[in-house]
Amino acid sequence: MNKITFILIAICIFSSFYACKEDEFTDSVFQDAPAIDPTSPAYNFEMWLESNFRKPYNLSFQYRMEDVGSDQDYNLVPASLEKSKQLAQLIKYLWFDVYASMVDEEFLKKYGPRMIHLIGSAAYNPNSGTMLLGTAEGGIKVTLYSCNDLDLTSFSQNNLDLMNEYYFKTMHHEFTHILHQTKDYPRSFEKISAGKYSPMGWQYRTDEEAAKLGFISTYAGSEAREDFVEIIANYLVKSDKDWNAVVAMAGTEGASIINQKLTVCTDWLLEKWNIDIAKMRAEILRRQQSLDASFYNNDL
Amino acid sequence: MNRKILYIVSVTLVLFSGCLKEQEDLFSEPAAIRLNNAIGSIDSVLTHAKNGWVMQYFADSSSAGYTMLLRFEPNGKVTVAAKNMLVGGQYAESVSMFDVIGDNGPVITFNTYNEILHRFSDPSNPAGIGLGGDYEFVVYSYADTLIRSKGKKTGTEILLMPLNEQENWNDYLDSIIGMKKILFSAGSPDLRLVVDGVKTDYLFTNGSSMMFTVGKLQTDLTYDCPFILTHSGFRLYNAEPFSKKGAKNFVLNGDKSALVSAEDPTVKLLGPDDLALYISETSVNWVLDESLMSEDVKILCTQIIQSVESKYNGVSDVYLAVRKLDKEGVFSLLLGFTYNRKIIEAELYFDYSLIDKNVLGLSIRGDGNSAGIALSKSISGYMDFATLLSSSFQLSTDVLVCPKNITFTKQNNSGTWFVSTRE
Repeated sequence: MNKITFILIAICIFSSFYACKEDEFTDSVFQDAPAIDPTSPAYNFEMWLESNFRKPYNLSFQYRMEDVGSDQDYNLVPASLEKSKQLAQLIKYLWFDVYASMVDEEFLKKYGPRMIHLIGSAAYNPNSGTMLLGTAEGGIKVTLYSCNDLDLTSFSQNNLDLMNEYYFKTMHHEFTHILHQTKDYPRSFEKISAGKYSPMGWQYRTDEEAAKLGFISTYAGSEAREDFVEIIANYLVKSDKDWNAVVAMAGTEGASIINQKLTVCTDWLLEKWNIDIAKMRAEILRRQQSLDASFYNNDL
Repeated sequence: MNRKILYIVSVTLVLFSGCLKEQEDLFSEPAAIRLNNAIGSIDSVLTHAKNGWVMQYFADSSSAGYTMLLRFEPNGKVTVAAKNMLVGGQYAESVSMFDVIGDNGPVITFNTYNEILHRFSDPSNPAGIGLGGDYEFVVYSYADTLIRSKGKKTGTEILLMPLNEQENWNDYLDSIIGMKKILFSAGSPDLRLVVDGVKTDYLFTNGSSMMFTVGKLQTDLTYDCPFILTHSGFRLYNAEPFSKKGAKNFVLNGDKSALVSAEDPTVKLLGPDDLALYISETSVNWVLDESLMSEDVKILCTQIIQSVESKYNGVSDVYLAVRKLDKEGVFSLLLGFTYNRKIIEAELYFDYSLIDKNVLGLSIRGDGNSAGIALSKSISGYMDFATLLSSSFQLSTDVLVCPKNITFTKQNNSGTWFVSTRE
């Protein structure tokens, strides 16, 4: 081996090691805050997003709908500016701030999505009669639908349940997808309800039928990975009363399966992510219950 | 030999170099730069229209068009206004954001929800589909006077025209509603396509739905023809194909006798050319207007109404009308009112004849429905009015293309007249 060949091989080896170096959290990959006209109706909101999402979390919060970045299979409309402001504050309060206080401030900087895309309408599937509430793509982007249905004029339990179903649960659902796409969940989970999943027919099961089969929601019965994140998302946002009501509806056998799944999820969160799901749930419920009309900052 | 080969190669190379052709650039700048320039220019054109733009919007190429007014501001704000059934019939405004982006060419996008504009693309009712309209528009030509665009998904043509600086938005939208009232209300006549002064076999019907059904006489052929109202007439989504003259924009002419194509004035749409024939073929009420009648008619009308009010305590909505009864094949003098929450319609019958163009002859028969016969004896002036009506009348109107009001003038006494309104 001559000298030049040796040097080239050495450079290649060093380069490949360098490539394996873990990325540090650095300045945002996104462009600097857009030069926005101070007279724009969105100026204050853009500044708020800059200091609350883009800078600290390297996250692009897309409330102005980008058609090319949305799912072309659906007819969709943008979120309203007003609802986007409200939802952005809720996302921070009930998701980002929870992880910052219950895990650590770096957690979502490292594992959180790089984009949140708000869509005004639901993504309807007219053929199956279902609608999509959210998606998580490749651990990078979370899309939340139906944002224009957000109603912050009432904080009754009914409205909270609705908000849980449409937004809060969806946030945790989609984020849990990101977490298990980063560190896979135990294969043993898939065996618990093997043979009972119905990817094409889950929507035809009633809540009770799904619960008796050991699914916390009808959608959980679609496939194992959805089942896994539904257990976590539902547990995080449902009050004891609501969670226990589903477990009671499941009967002895169904309840046993749901509890078995919860145990797997609890252990996985603790072992892989050092997250105590019970403590996190208590914090989320505390924050949910503290919501009232004064929560929303009208000046954004 | 070697030298020979050298010569052959040299000649061949010279020949091939002759085939080499420098392709001239069609454009002076790369596509990306041209797109960026177009985006900047369109943004500037949009925001420079001080009083905003009239948007002629079709959700798709087979449904009615709607007018919206839009004002674009340099800070990304857009105000959209409309006055139509989709916004409850009242003037409504909604503010949201817009942007001009590079997508399939320069695209105007309304990227935050606007209560008015996004109604056409909101998929909630019916679920997943809605009205199927666009909220992003690919611009394919632009100028200060007209922006032509196409809906990004549907490809539907959407036009933007600047609004006159002095025009009040509400007044402008009212002028469009006014045009609808003039041209298309219940019982409005079919419009006949006339080309070069010759009547064609094509009839434009059902205009009140903002979607003409064009039928050909003596055939079952029909053709749907969506259109949008303008302040001066209407614009068809596609040029009508029958005249082969590309007629698309129709304007109500000065004497309101025809809708004339702006593209080719030899193409017209005409209403009825004989009012007597028209009202004898249209089963609607022609209600007498108490403020528009000669003194002798007014005296009788007042007498009838007072008599009804005195006989029926608490009576409401008393009116007199002339109408053609298809079933009986006669005209009637209708005396209508509401009493004890019941609608009473008393009718006295007339034979009729089409004496001449725009001349209707009425001849009292002495019969009617049971209410008519009963009230002719008990309501003062009712029978006298029927007698007055038993005569020949010259009919006239102020909007011949689509008569809404018809004036009945006695042929042998022009001092006796009344105006009736189609309802």
